[in-house]
Amino acid sequence: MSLLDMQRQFRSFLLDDPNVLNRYVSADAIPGLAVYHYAYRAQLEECMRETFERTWAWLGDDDFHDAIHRYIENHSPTSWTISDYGDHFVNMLDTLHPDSPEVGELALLDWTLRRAFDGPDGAVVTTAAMAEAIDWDHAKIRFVPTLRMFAVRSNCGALWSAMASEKVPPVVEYFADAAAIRVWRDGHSCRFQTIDELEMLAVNYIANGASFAELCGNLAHLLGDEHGTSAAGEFLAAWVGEGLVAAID
Amino acid sequence: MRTHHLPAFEGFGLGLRPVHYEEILGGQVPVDFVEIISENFMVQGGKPLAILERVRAHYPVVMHGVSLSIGSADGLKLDYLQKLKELAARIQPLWVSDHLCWTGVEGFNSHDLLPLPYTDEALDVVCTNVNVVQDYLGRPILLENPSTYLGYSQADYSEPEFLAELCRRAGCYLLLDVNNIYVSGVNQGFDPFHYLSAIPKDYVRQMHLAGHSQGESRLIDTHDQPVPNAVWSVYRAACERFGSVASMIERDDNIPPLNELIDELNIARTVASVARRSEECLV
Repeated sequence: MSLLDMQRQFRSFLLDDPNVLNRYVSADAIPGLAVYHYAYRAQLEECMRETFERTWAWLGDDDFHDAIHRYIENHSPTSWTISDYGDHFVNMLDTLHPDSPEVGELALLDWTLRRAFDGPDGAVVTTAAMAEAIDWDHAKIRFVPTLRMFAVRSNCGALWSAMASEKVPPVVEYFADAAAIRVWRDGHSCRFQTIDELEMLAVNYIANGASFAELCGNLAHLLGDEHGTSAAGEFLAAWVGEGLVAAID
Repeated sequence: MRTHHLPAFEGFGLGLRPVHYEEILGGQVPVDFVEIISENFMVQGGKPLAILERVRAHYPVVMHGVSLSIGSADGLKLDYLQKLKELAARIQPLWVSDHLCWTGVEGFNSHDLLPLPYTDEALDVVCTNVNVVQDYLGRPILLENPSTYLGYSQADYSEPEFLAELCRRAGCYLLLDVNNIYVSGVNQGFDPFHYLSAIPKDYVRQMHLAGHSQGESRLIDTHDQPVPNAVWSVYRAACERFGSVASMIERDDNIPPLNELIDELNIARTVASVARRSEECLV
């Protein structure tokens, strides 16, 4: 037998082709095959439960396990690290729950927090450093490398926080206006914050390379000169205070 | 093949597990080395790496991986090797180990330690892959005998014969898991003590001790129990054959308080000491 052929057949067996390995294994191997078949799924199920812990709590055992079983049957792992498994789960939940966006958004929050946990390290600007001389006409702000932001339609952040602290989750709300959640790691603590459309725009401006002066200008265009500059200053102060800013160059 | 010599290291260690981080970081735990699961620290940053660097400041570390897939017929994953090399450069471990198994093929990764057929072709594949890894890392690796739950219809070698030939041809070393020898022995009907006698003395650099569970029809390598007496017996015989080799308790589930693992590690120290004295008496 060719080793490559055998390994292909073993893969097919794990993915649910039960008889494909018969010619490669000894006659008494059936119970042993069952061990590998079970272990493959059990490992992936455990990974999904750990990665999407709050989503699991929200959906409950039956719905969550139905979802992850469906996911496992349709997505075989490819990365060397099992922590990458689950990267398409949010899309699947969005399809399964088209009228309940909080489900996919909870999963995306679970997923993004998990990525932030062991994401890249970076320096953080302190509030004290803001007192130093900074050329604000040309200053550029760089966010910490773990920062991620995604649009949300629901109060999934409040749902997540309530479940994390083992409180009764609030009633699901759907926002009338655009909103987003930003996720980042502050030291070793993964954090998130639900933000409104204006801050979402501000984060996007900076993330796309705008200087602080350009941020002020863009916000002034939306809010007027006085309010635009003060809003930019308030955002920056909040970002620095939350450990979100890696550098002001 | 470039020859990589690996000096022996004697001592008794434990696996680094999150529930024991605080005590281990205190630096006063009576262990001679700490073993990490490599993949848990092959990350970009954050708490895992920060913890590991603090642990490394107190203890020698060995890296033990589960995703190398040394038996994959279609070769190795270069992105994995790159991350492994980066971590080894950062941590400067005593050595790097993984398992004699395959985990995936052609882009599929089962995340399980799948058994290899012990054939001439598989030996060629594993030797080629070991040479690639050792040359890329610039250091020899250790391979661990896996727990297996089935046998293939075709085999040119027994498992210890395969390991012996692999070490001879590829110049790698062995991490002998005595629990795995026992589990596979029961599952596949071989004598663990006969197995030991077929392992060459000069290549064993580390031993694992662990517990297992009885499944429906097979012993399962669960690492969720104390080391049972039957495994201690195999360990004693291994100590008599291989001498003072770095040994550790490998516990991955149902993890007890650290002092219980230290007590279990002290049993290993006693068993190894008794075995050494009995060997000296024979000499």
